[in-house]
Amino acid sequence: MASKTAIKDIITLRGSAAIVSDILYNRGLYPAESFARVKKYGLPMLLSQDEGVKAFISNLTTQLSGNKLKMLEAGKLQRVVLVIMSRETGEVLERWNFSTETEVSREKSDTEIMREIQAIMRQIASSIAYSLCLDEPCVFDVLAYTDKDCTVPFTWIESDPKLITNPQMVKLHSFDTKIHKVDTLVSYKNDELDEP
Amino acid sequence: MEGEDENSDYVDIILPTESLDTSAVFHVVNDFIGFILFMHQQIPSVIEEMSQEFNELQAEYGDLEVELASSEVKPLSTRRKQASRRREVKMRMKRQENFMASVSELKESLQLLISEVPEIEKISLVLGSSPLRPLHVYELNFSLGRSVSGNFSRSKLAESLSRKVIRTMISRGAGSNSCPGPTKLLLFVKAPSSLNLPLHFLPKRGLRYNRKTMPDRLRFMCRTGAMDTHNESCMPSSSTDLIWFQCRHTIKGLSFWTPPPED
Repeated sequence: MASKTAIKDIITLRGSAAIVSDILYNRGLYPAESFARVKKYGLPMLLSQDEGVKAFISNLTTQLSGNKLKMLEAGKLQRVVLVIMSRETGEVLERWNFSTETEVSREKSDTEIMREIQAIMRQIASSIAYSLCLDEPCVFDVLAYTDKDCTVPFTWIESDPKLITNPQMVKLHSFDTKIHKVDTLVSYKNDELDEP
Repeated sequence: MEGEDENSDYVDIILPTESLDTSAVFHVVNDFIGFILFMHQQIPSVIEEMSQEFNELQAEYGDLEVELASSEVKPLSTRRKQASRRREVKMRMKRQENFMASVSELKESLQLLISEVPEIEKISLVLGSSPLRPLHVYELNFSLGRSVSGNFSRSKLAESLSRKVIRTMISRGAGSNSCPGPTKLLLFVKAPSSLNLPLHFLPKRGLRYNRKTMPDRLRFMCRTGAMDTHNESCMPSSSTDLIWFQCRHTIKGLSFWTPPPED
């Protein structure tokens, strides 16, 4: 049972990590040639081959789960947020918010989980296909919201929430394993045509 | 359509302008078609990616033809690999070609329609074998004034509008209850009975669809129309001479295999 839990948590995190990599590709944060097309969860996905990005994402998943602190397993991790900012001005242009809830739900097969991740990937692809191109150099950062009494790795520092003023919000499907449910909400900087 | 419930909920898309140009109407409908085809698992990727992939396949096929026609001496294994790859590319191209052609025909029909009837108010998109057996129905209602643009080039307003529509529909879970497996996309429009584009649209009097299927209704309105539903400048015209037409060109989804999960 314990090992099954670990596997499901890994699916949750790996799913999120693969989604992060796909977002970085589709938003053009890194050159297209630095991504490799792989098959994950029954879908072609693009995983970064840039050593710096790979190390960053790998450290992230290790620090959030599977190490001594076990933030995810202990239910102390509330949200992981991917923030895309202008390199020059630091303005936050997009905010991908993955909220995690610890819940005991009905047993789910890997196929069901895969279908849910596929559904989210379709939503992400559609959302990105019609998004404004990021026509300035951008950088990304990752924020983690945890319980106040959570012990965090020493490499993490406190941060402001890096919110977008008056954003356009898009709610994506949730996906869940037996132990955790992940809700995704994307905030975009508003179009000038939408401003009152 | 006959049997429709006028009190059904609408998803309002509020525009920052008082009117909409015909080019924007075209692009919104066109983008929406691509969106629902993808979200309802009728195509493996978004249409722009498919077009790009198709162009790449064409280029690769051309290169392989040149290589294989070349009199340069090559190992037999190399020629076999190239021949095999050429067959594979040709097969993939053929699959996509029919689909891309049907998309192109539908687009052309839509442009002709909008040029003939700039004030078009209602467009219905049915996913399924027929309106009597729809899997999903989307209805687009344009409740605001129209200006005629000179061409169908994509404006910032059109892009912004498409973005808004698609994000709204994503948040509403469009496509979440779809099952894989190819089906057809049918286009219906409500237009004056005098519409004369027989190569593209045929009258469909008495059109009705299965009452069990609730359509997703989108309504495009200007800000003042949303605030005051009695604002006449933003209300649709009440012509009684409108009938339904069905586009002769349909889009058939592609069957593509989604493999089981890997370890």
